Amino acid sequence: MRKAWFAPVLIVASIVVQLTVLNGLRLPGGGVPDLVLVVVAALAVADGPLAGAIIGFAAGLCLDLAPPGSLLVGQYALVFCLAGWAAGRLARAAGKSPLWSAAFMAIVVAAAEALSTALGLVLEPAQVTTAEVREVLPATIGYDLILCPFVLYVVVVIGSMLAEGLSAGAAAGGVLGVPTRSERGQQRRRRQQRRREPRLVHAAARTGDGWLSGGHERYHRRQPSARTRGRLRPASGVAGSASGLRHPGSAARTSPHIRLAGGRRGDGAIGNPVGRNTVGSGTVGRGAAPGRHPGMLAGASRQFRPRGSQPGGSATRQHTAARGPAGPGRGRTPIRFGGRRGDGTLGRAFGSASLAPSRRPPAAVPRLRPGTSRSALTTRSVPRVVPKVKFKTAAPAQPRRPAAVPRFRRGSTFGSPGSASGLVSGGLLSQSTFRTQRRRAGVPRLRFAAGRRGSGPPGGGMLGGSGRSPLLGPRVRIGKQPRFGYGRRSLLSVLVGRRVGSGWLARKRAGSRSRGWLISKRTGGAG
Amino acid sequence: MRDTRRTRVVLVVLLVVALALIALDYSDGSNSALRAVRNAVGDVFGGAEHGTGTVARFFSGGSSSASQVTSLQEQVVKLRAELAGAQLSKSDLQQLRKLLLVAGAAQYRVLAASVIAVGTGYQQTVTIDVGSSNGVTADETVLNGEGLVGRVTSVTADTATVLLADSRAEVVGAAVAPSGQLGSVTGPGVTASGSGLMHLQMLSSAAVLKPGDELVTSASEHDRPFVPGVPIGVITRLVSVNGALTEAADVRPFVDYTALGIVGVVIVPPKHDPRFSALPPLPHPGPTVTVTVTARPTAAGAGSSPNPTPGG
Repeated sequence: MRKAWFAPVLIVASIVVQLTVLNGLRLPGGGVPDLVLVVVAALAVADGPLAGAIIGFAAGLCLDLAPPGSLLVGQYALVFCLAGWAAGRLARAAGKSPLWSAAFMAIVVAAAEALSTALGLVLEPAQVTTAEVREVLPATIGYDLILCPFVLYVVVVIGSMLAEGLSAGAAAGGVLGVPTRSERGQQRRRRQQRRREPRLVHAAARTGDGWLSGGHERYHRRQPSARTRGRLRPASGVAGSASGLRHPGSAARTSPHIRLAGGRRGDGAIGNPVGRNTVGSGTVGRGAAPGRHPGMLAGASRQFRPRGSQPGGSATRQHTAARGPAGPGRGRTPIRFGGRRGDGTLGRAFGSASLAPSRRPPAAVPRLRPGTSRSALTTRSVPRVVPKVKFKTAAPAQPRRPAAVPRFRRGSTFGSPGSASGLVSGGLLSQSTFRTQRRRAGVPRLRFAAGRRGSGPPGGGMLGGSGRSPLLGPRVRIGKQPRFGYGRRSLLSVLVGRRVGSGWLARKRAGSRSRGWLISKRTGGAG
Repeated sequence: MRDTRRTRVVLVVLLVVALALIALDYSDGSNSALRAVRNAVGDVFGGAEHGTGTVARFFSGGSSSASQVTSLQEQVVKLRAELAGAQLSKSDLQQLRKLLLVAGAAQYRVLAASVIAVGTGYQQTVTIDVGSSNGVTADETVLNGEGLVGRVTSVTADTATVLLADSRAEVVGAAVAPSGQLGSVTGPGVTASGSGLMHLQMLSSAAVLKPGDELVTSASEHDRPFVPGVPIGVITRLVSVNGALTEAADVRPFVDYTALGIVGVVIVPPKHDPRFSALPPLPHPGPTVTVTVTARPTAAGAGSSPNPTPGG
C-alpha cells in the first residue's frame, strides 16, 4: 500500500500549480492543460476505481471551491469523480499493460474534458458558450493528452518508490511494471541457478485458470524470485486472489500453517462427489445442483470437505457433520486444504491424513513446500518428475490466541467468519478481510502450493498431477483436458498481453456447452 | 473482481452528493453554508496561492544576501538572477506607476494588488492577493494602468476573486469618449488567441460611432460595481446588423487580460465623475513622415500616399 498522504498532497499541489501557473499561461491555440484532471486519472489508474472515484470527487470539490472558482460548486466534483472511477475501471481492464493503461487514461481524460465542458454549457450558459468551446476545447484536450503519459509515469514511479523503496520505483520506471532488460537477465540467471530447487508457484492466477482468475501472465513471469520466499498460494486460489496480494509482513511469518483449501471445479477428489466420471475439469457438484452454474458452484463449494471421497454426498450435510465434532476442539492447528483444479489428490492425501490435525502441536508443524512446476505450459519443467518436497522446520509459533479449529462456512449462516483461521470459503470472505484477519492472528500455518495438472508424477498425481484421485481408477489421458478460454487468442489479447474476456467467455461456454463438445472440437473427434 | 459492489455504491453516493451540491448552488447562490465552505477552502487555497506567489517572487526576485561568493560561475548566476529580478520589479514598477497615474488622473483611491491565481477552464476569473482584511469588499472595480480589469465578486480574508471584464458573463456600462453616449460592452469570452474583441451595443439609436472612439465606464448605481471613468477600449470596427435599431461595434480592450500583473482595487470612488480624464493621452501628431512617391503614368489609381500612423 502506498503512503496515504501521497494522493492528497499530489492533488493539492496540482490544484495550486494549476491555478497559479498553468492557467496564467498563454499557449498557442488557447486553452491550458487540466493538470488536476490528469493527476486524478493517473492516481485512479494506479489505485483502482474506488480510490479513483473518491480522489476525483475530492479534487473536483477542491477545484470548485478554491478561490478563483466561479462555477457552481460540484461541477468539477461530478466530472472528476466519474473520470476517476472510469480510469480505474479501464486500467483494471487493461491489466498490467502500460500501453493500454495510458491509452485508456487518455480516453478518459478527453471524455472528462468534454463532459465538463458540456456541463458548463448546460449549467452556466452565461460563462460558457459554444463559440468559446469550439475555439478552446480541442487545444485543451490536446494539451491534456500530451500531459497524460508523463503524469502517469511520475505518479506510478513516485508511488511505488514511496511504497517499496527506491529500487521498486526504479523497477516501475522501466515501463510501468515491465521488467527492464537487465532485470530479466537477472531473473533468468537466478532461475537457472536454482533449477534444482523446488520452485514455488506464485499464486492464484495462472495461465491455465483464466476462467476463474484474471491472471496476468506477465506478472508471474516477472516475480518468481520474490515469491520463492515461501509465499504460496494464499488460499484456495480465489480469482485474482494472490496476484494483487501483497503481504507487507510476510517476512515475519514464522508460524507454520497448514492450509488445504477447497476443491474447485475439476479437482475430482476433494469434494467432488459427482464428477467422478469426469476427467478433470468437470463440473463440481453439477449433479448435485444441476440448475446452477458450474463456476458459481465451484466457488460456493470451495470448502473443506472431510469426506469428499464419498460420492454423491451433499456438501451441506458434510459440512454440518464435520463441524460437529470439530467444533469444540479449540486450540488446534488449522488445516486448510488447498485443492486446485487438476490436483485432486493433493488435497485428498492430506485431507485424509490430517483429518485429525489437532494432535500435532502447533509449534512443530513443519512448513511443507512441495515443488511444483510453475506452469503446465513450460515444457522445460517436465523432467521434474519427482515431486520435490522441502521440509523446513519453522520457528516455534506463538499464537496470540488459541488457534481455532477449521471452521466451515457455508453461506452466511455462520455468524463469525473464522477470524483466525477461517477458510476463505466459498468466496464469502473477501480476500482482504481474510488477509487482515489472518495477519491479526498469528496462528501456525502450513501451506503448500497445489500442484498443477501435468506437473506431478505420471502415475500418481500425488502432489499435483492429474485431476483425478488414484482411488478412482486408472488415469485417463490428461493432456487433452479442455481449458475454457484457453488457447483463444484475439488480436486484443495479443496486444494486451493477456487473454481478454476469457472469464466470461469460459463461464458462458461452461454453462452452455458440454465438455465433450469442447474436447471433440479440439481434438477433432466426433462429439 | 472484488470490491466492485462497494465501488459502485461509493461512486453513486459521490455522484449524488455532487449533483446535490450543484443543485443547491444553482438554486440558491448565496447559500450561507456553501458560502462558509467556500470561504474556508478559499482561505486554505488562498494561503497556498499566496505562498506559491511568494516563492516564485523570491526565486525570480533573487534575495541578494551578501554571501561570500567565491566561484565566478556562481557569481554570474547570481548576477543573472538579480538582473532578471530587477527587470521583473521594473515591470512591476512600471505597471504600478501607470496604475497610479490613472488613479491620480481620475481621483480614485486604489489598493494595489497582484494577481496570484487564474480560473480554470472557461471561468474568466483571477484571484488577487488582497482581501477583506485590506478593506476590499465585493462589487468593487478593479483596474490596472491600462484600463478596466473587472470587478470583485467574492472576498475571503486574504484573497479576492475578480471577474474579468472580458468574460461573456460581464456587461459593463460604457460611455463613448467624445460624445458621452451610453452603451454596454460585453466581453469576448475565452478565445484561442487570448485577446478577443469586446462587443459594444449602443443604447440610443441616435448615437453615432466611428472607429477610433474610446470608451470609459459609465457610473453604476452608487459606483458599484463600476466607478465612472475607467478606460475600457477603443472602437476598431463598426458592426452593422441588418434591422438593428442601435449601432454596434467591436472594441479592442486596452487591457491584456491574459497577462495581468499589478492591479488596483478602487476602494474609494471619485467625488466627481472624472469623465474622460483617465484615458490615455491622445496621440498627438508627431512630425509627419513624408514619403515621396513618384507617380508613374501607368498607375491606374491616383497617388496612394501611405498614411503615417501616429505612434502612441
